[in-house]
Parts: sequence; structure tokens; C-alpha cells
Amino acid sequence: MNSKLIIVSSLAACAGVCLYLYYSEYFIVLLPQHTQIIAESKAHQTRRTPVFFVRNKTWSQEIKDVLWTHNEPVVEHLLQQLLDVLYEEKYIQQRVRVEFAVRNASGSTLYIQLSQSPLDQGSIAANIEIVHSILSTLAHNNVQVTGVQFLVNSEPLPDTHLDFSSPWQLAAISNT
Amino acid sequence: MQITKLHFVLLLLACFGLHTDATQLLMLSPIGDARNEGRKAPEGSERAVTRDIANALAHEMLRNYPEIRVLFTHMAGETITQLDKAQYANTTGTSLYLVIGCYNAPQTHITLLTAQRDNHMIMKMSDQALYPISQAWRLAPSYEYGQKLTLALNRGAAHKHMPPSVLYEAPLKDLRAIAVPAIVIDIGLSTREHVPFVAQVLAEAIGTMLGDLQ
Repeated sequence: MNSKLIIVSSLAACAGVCLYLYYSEYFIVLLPQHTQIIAESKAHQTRRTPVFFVRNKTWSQEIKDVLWTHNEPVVEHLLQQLLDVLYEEKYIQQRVRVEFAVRNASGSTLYIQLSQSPLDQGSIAANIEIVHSILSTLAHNNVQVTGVQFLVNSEPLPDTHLDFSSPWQLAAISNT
Repeated sequence: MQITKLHFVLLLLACFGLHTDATQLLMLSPIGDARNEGRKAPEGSERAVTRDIANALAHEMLRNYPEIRVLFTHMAGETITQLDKAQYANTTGTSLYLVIGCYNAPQTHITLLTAQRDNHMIMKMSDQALYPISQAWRLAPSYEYGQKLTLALNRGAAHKHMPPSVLYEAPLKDLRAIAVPAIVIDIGLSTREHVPFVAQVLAEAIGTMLGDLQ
């Protein structure tokens, strides 16, 4: 009877010590994740996707390979492809990188942070066309948002004439 | 007694006539002030060239359309905030508020811009409501004025010398809080020698448009 009690109390003490060490993160348990990685790789796929921009006052498009997941393009990848096209076509003067693109809690507004402003100090109309290229590319590729807030260094995109203090509406491109 | 009655009626009609014979008021806001010289423009900065264009336009308007009064939001050497400009325009019965900008371009041309209309977001508001300054455009038909001015510009002789003008919509800082019809005229200039020609073309289009609206 005594030996049984000693064994049970020893096991309980060991279990307590183990739990204490686990919760204090002296050791970490990592479960195998092979299944999850395979599932994710199946969810992502590359598709031939159009990116839109304004050339000589009319809309043009180029087809690019863009990563898609759950029937929607990866926004960072899509916009990076568009900005690269705009740079190659000399609509923007410097290469601009998309740092992140996240949605608000309701999913209606997309926050896009860029490494620097893609706009220059020339024509206001040319700058509007660059912004509309981004909005049009998002709208035509099934990105389900109503507004886009452009950011640089976590602040609204700086510009002398265009107002980026509020999100730009995707519906706006239908007015041009 | 009859004569007194007649005098009273005539006086009433005269007052009514004076009241309805309202002169139209055109307010010009050239981009750039004492602190901000603006973009690069032919042979100088935007501040200097837009002032030249605005002066030439005012001169043309005075000569050809004396019934239209022209006011400037600020004089050369002054600094004024956007909200001060808006208050000035909104409280003086301005018929049309024009922002004039310019920049270097290989070919002289005129682009028109008005405030963004986000129609899908419009909510039914009661007659008395407070609008945020970013939505002051809701109180004026700026886009319709922009369309009329674009038509007037392209219909006139201008299209023989310049590419057709295009109207854009965008959220513009230069039109923030303006609650009267307001348009930004962004002029691409190849040379400063085109300033009188551009002013003449603009004066003709603005005069025609305001005349049609009256």
C-alpha cells in the first residue's frame, strides 16, 4: 500500500514538474506540420493575370504570372507586378516596392503600404492615372474591397494636389 | 393716391430687378503663394506662371465679359490656407471657383479636374445637415460645370491648336471645403509665350459656359 502511494505521488510530482517546465517554455513541443504545408501549397497557384494601366488616355493591359489563393490574387504580388510594369513603361520614375497589403476588420478597406510614392511632381492627371491603374487592376481581378488607403511609412501617401487622407473608392474608376 | 400706388409698384419692380440682375462672380486661385513655389514650369516656377495666366485671364474676362466679376483668392506675396480660400469662396456668392495650375509639358494642353463623386456612398441627408469638409463638393454641381467647360473648350477654336481637354475626377486638396462649383485647370505649358493664348482660350470657354448657365 505504501509503495503504491509512493509511486502515484512520485508520478504526480513528475507530471507537475513537467507541466511547470512546459508552461514556463523550458521546452517546446512542435507537432509535425507536413499535412498543413501540403494543403497550403495546393491552395496557392500561379495564374496568368491581367494588370491594367493607362496608355495614351486609353486602358491597356499586360498579362503577368501572379500568385492566387482561395480564388483571389495575392494583393502584394499583383500590385508588385503592376508597379514593375509601370516602372518599365516609364510611368513612374523609381522602382516602388509593396511593403504590405492588409484589410480592415470588415474587409471593406485595403491598406497598401508602399516603399515610396510612385507619383511625381508633373501633371496631376498622370498621377491620377497611376492611382486608377492600381484601382482598376484590383477591381478587375476579383479583389473584394470598396476602398483603398495608400500609405508610405504608415502615413497617408504624400502629394501636393491629390488627397490621400481617406480611402480611394474602387467605384471611382468607372467615372473616368 | 393712384400715383402713390404706381410709385410703390415701380419701386418694388426696381428693387426686384436690382436683386435678380446678379453679376456672376468668378474666383481665381492660382496655385502657389509666398511659401510654396509649386511645380517646375517653363522659365520659372508654377507660382510665377500661374499668376501670369490668372492676370491675363482676368484681363480677358474684363475686356470681353464685363458682366462677370473676377476676384483673386490671394495676391502675389500673400499666404492663405485652403480653409480661408474655401470660406472666402463659400461666403461671397461665387458662381465658379477656378484653381489654376501649370507644369512643364512637351505640348501645351489643358486638363480639367473636379472633386471625386463617390455616388455609391451618398446617403439621403435631411435639408439641415453637417457635412465634413471632405464632402463639401456634395453641395455644388462641380462635375456638371466641368463637363460644360470641357465641351466649351473643345468646341471653340482651341481644339485646332491644342489636344482636346479631358475631365478627371479625384479627391483634390485644392478643392477641399469648397461648396460652390469648383474646377482645377491644370495647364501643361511648353513655353511661357503661350500664356496669352491659353488665357484667351480659357476666357472664351468660361464666358460661353457662364453665359449659357445664366
